This record gives sequence, C-alpha cells and structure tokens, in this order.
Amino acid sequence: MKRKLMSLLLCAVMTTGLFATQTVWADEETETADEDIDFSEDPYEVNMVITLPAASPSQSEIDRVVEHVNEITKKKLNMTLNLQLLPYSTYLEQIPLELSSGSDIDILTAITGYAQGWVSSGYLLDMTDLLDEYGQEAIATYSSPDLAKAAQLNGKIFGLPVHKEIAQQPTIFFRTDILDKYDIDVSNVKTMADVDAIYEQVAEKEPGMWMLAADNLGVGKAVVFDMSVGGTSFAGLMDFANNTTVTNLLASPEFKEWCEYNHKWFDNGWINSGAASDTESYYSYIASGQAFSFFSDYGHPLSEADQENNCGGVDLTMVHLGEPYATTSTAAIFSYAISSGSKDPAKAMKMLNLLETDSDIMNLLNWGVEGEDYVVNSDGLLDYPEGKDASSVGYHLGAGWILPNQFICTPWATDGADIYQTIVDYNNTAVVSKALGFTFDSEPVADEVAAVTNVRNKYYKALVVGAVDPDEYLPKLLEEMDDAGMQDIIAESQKQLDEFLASK
Amino acid sequence: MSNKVKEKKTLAERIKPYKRYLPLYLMMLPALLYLFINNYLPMSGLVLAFEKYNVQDGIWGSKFVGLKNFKFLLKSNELPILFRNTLGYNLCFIIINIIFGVALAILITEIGNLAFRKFAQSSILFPFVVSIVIVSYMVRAFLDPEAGMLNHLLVSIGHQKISWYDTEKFWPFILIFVNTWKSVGYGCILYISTILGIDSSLYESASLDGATKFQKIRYITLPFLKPTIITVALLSIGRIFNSDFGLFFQVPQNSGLISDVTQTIDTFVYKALITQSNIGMSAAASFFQSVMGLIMILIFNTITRKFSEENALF
Repeated sequence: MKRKLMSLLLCAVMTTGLFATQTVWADEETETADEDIDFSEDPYEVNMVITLPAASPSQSEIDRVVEHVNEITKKKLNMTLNLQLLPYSTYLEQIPLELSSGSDIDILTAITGYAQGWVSSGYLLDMTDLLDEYGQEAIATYSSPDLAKAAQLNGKIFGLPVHKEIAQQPTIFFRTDILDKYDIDVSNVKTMADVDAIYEQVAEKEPGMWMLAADNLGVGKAVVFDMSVGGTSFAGLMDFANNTTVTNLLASPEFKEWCEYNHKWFDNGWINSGAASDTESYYSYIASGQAFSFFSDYGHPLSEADQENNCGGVDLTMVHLGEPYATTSTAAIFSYAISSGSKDPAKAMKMLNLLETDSDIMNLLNWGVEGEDYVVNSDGLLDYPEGKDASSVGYHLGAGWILPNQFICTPWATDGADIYQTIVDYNNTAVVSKALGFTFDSEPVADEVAAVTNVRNKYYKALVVGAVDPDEYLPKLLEEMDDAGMQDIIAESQKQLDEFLASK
Repeated sequence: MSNKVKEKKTLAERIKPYKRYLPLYLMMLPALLYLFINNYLPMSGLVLAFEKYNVQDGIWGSKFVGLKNFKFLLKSNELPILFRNTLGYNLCFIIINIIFGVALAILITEIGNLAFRKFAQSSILFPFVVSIVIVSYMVRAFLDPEAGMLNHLLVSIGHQKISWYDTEKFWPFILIFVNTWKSVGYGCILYISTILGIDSSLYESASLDGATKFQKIRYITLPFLKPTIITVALLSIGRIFNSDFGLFFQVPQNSGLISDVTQTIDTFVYKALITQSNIGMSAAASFFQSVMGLIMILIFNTITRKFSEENALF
C-alpha cells in the first residue's frame, strides 16, 4: 500500500513538473496568441473523431502526426488534440451509440441525412452563438456566409461544412479502352437515350459484358432533384432553381424514365443481375473488366482522376448528362459538429476555428509530417519522399474532402498547383437550389417517415437497378407510400420550406 | 409479556435452520447481484419508451410523451405481416427444432462407439457457434445469381437461372432450413444430457421383457424427455415476439422484394429507425415485444399447468 502511495505521489510530482516546464516554454513563444487564453492552465484535450471511407493509417502513425499537430495547438490555444479515425462503415452505428450515452467527444464529422436525427436527439450542440463568438475566421474561409451556415436545422447551426466541391452533377463514366476499340464518339451524349444507343452498339460486339455496373445505393443518378427538402423520405423539389413546390420524387417522370431504361438493360442482361442486393462495390466490376460503365453523382474536374483511382487505375472517360447543381445535401454532405458531451464547447469551437484556418495543421492531417511522409518539390508542391509511395509512407490520408478545410493545404504535385482554385471555380458554375440552407426537421412526422422508409426499402433498390418492371412496381410503390403517409410528410416539408423561404 | 418472549423465540427458531445454509446464500450473492445489475436495473430504461429522449436532458429529464412512440408501429400497414412472420417463423422454428433435436439426440445416444459419438455431438453443435454474418455468406455462395452453386447446377441441367434474392416463394423454406441447420444442435445437447441421465436399468429390464427399440424410445426415453422439452418450449415461447435479427436481416441480404416474407418486428424496427436515431421509438418497439412475450409465457404456462402441473415453470 505504502509503495503504491509513494509511486502515485511520484507520478503527481513528475506530471506537475512536466506541465510547469511546458508552461514556461509556452509563455515565451506565444506573444502573438490570443490574450484570453490562460497558458498557466493544463492544456485542454479536444477529442476529435473523423470518419474515413478508405483504410485509415494505424493508430501509432496517427499519434505520430498528432504529436506535431499538438505542438502547434499548444502554442496557439493551449490545447491538445486526441484524434480518432473511424471507417465509414462502422461510424454510423458506433457514433450514435457513443453520443447517446453522453460520450466526451468534442468535435466529430456529421453526415447529412443522419445528423438531423442526432440534432433532434440532442447529440449535437447548437453552434450558432459559439460560431459568432469564436468562429469568425472560420466563417471567412467560405465563399459566402450562407455556405458556412448550410448545415442547420430549424435555424440552429449544427456544423461547419467541409470545403470541397459543393455541387453534384449527373455523370457517366465509360471505359476508354472500349470506346477506342469501337471508335465511339461520346461528345454528343447528353441523355439516357444517347447512353442507351451506345449500349446497343457495344453490347452487340461484346456479348457477356455488363454494359452498366449498377449500384443500389443512390436514387437514379441521372435524375436531378433536391432531396434535402424531405430528409430521407424522398419528398423533394424537382427543377429546384425555379420551383418550390414539394413533391414525391419517385413520382417524377424523370425517375420513371430512369427505371424504364434500367429495366430494359437489366432484361437484356446488361446489368449485374445481383445488383439489387449486391454489397460489392461496383468499382470492382470495372476494375476486373466485367463491366463497361457506371453512373456517378460526381462530375467535378477531379472526379475522373478520383474514379480511375477507385477503379484500380482503369482509364475512364467522363461524360456529363446535366449541369452541376448545389443543394443543402450536396453542399453540406459532411460537416464538423460539436457534440453535446463536450466538456468545454467554447474550447472545442476555438479548436475547430483553428483547424479551419491553420494550413500547417491541415497539411499534417492530410499529408503527414514533412520529411517523413512527404517532401516539398521545386515548384513548392508536395510529393512522396524519394522511393516511397502511398502504401509505403506511414501516414497519407489524401482525403482532403473529409477534413475541415483542404483548401488551405499545399497541393499535391500530381493534382497541380491550381487544384483548389479549380474546385472553387466549378462551385461557382453550379445551379443553386432555392432551398439551399434549408434542412427538413422530420420530428413532427417521425411515424410517417418510419412507415414510408419501410415501403421504400421494399421496392426501390429493385426498381433503381431495373430488376423489376416499373409499369407494375412503380405504381405499387407510390400507392403504398401514400398509404404510409407520404402526403403528410410532403405537407409538413412544404410548411417548413415556406417558413424558411419567408424568413430569408 | 409472555407473548413477546414467545415471538422472539419463534424468530430465532425461524432463522436457525437457515444459518446452516449461510455459506450457500453467500455463494449465491454474486449471481444475484449480477442478475440485479444486468437484468433489473436496465428495466428502468423502459421509461425511454414513453419519452422524447434527448441526451442533454438525460433519461429522467426528457419530455414525457405518453404512448406517442408506439404509434409508428400502428401507422405502418405492415403490422399484420410482421405478426404473421414473427410468430409464424418462431412457431415453426420451435416445433422443428424440438422434433429434429429429439430425433438427433436419440440417434446420437444410440451410437455405440464413444469417439464417434463425441464427434457427432460436436459437429452438430458447430453451426451454432458460427457467426450469422458468415452463415449469410455461405448461403450467398449457394444462392448468388451470378456465381452461386445452385444457379450453376440449374444451368448445367438446362434450367433457367433463378434470381433467388428477388423471389418470395423460396424464402420461408430457406429461412427454416438455415435456422434448423444452425440451431438444432443447441437443443440437441440438452436432450442428450437428459437421455444419458436416464437410469440404464430401466432399459435393461425393458429388454428382458422383450421390448423393441421403438417401444423403449416410446415408453422410456420420451417420457423422461418431456420435462426438458416443455422447459425448452416455454423458454422459446417467451421470446416468440423477438426474432433472430441476424437470420432475418443478414441471410436475405436485406433484399427489398422479398421483405413481405422475411420482415419481422426486429428487422422492421431496425430498418425504419436506423436513419432517425430515435431511441424512444426503438424502446417502444422492444417494450411491446417484451410485454407480448410475457403474455405468451403466461398463457402457455397456464396451459401446461392444466395438463401436467409438475412441468410448469411457475
């Protein structure tokens, strides 16, 4: 017992000593820092969770990078960062559980569609006042304050959107080798009918190949609408640049057209027949040469390179089937929120503000440590150290689009110096929804949303990949949706939207 | 006065016989504590079913909303289908598992070679410990529309491919088959241990009287198995409103078109609420399941008491 007490005491003395030296050192070097920050206190540890779709570096590599981050944050804010990277697949199940039990996470990635539920259960803090007080610099990093405030519910801001392309665009990717082989010109492809014509041509010469690697996750990817108006219920706006009347998106002629073409292709054997229940990523079908094309929501200038990367380096040709468009869900698909379990929300907000504005930290988080994970080349851009690549350096996220602010990173050599400017320019070309900034609060119609979700789950995957005849199943789906209370959801969404538009 | 003395005496007298068992009671204490902490304390969480839960207000501070959370179960027109599937499948599972379990247990105990008996016993239990996610991929290996074994077989005998995951009519059989394969071993072990506990002199005297194998099973083994069978059945009936989530969610690969025959209360609640993070509604659904389960247990226990009182649970 005595020995235990002794060692405890020793520990205490040692840690105090540690902090004491740290404090002195901090005091000397932080003349430029904010004078409200009390450097005599112990540094506050900010717990931050980021979700990552790709494989994440090992925890020891993360710790190595975060150590460098902490040098900066200690100097500027007297805080440290405790960073956890979670794969997207477990994030959506694990994080709500942690939040519901009041975990002490400070900052986390919020994902549109799910975050609204987190807000109404009180998991996330209303950031409106905190942003006003401590987040002005962060707000200034957005091209318009409206964009900075796109992640909100009932007028309460719950997150700062990540800086990335805010627009989606109906797009199709073809394998370039097949296009070249049969000398097909895709410059005039604009509609589903044009795509169909190309499939006819190729299918004849390549029997057994799937024309389309379908996925069952999205809604028809050539159909443009504003889904954020109805949360996850498929109530939304068509022609959202002019129209503000909420309708059932699945009742639109555009969705029907999508289903009809897909059904035709499915019947011809041109679509992977297991698509409706497939959990395989459709990229793998392209990579293996089994399929010829796939639809995508991402038509921004970097998308082609991204998708080629996803498909294992297969050369792809990107063709746009429509204009880029921006809605709340495309603009704020990921945002950074402060959890209600945070022990000190003001400090969390200060940390978030720093993350949004400090390019050294952003470079560390995205690219790792200079000299170890990357080097600066003669053009001032970043590249792998001599003889290393993505798999052999310890830390290389290269996923700026999920980090708070990639636009202040130093660009990677292969992306080019003006990459971030290209994205900003692309954003400015987008057709903007009248409902941008509006987020549906599904709470008043929670019962109906649950019932409609269930009906939708029954049919829509099969419809979207063309596995069933839309003439038979689409009316069935729409009728059952109405029985389950779709019209009530539409009415509630319309009411909230009208209030939002009036307050604008 | 005299009365008081007498009372004191009785109290001491009453305690006395129990003193002997004190060590035993002490030994029971950890288990009781475990039961209390794990099974009784969380019951207070049932209050969540009647609240609009908000983590900032906590379990006790959240707004009370009465029965509002239960409404969504009624709102969807699925309720009859959910009831039919949940109860129907579970009843089938209980009956089939008992019949197969008992039959297998009798066959296994008849095996003379001890090493082979142990082997048979373990291999029948093995599927029970395989994770349902792995089982779902084993099933997929058979049923995959492109690469599945069954479709290869169908094509090789000149038949059309079948899109298994989109065709309703096969799924009742597939689910029952998978469930039997997976869980029959568990009940079987219970029956085997009961059979091995039967006094062997009974069989010997039956043989002397010239009883055939079937007569011995009919008149000795089965009557001895009856209490075990009834206990297993009663315990399963208590959970008849809860379905094996893995079986109904993972094995059909969450395919929508077959959901009329694969959807149970659990999968419905999961799918309807996973995107909403609504703890109140989920709590309401499981509250409902527990209450219905309790009612079922009471009903079946009463029936059992009527027919064979000594086998009833309470």
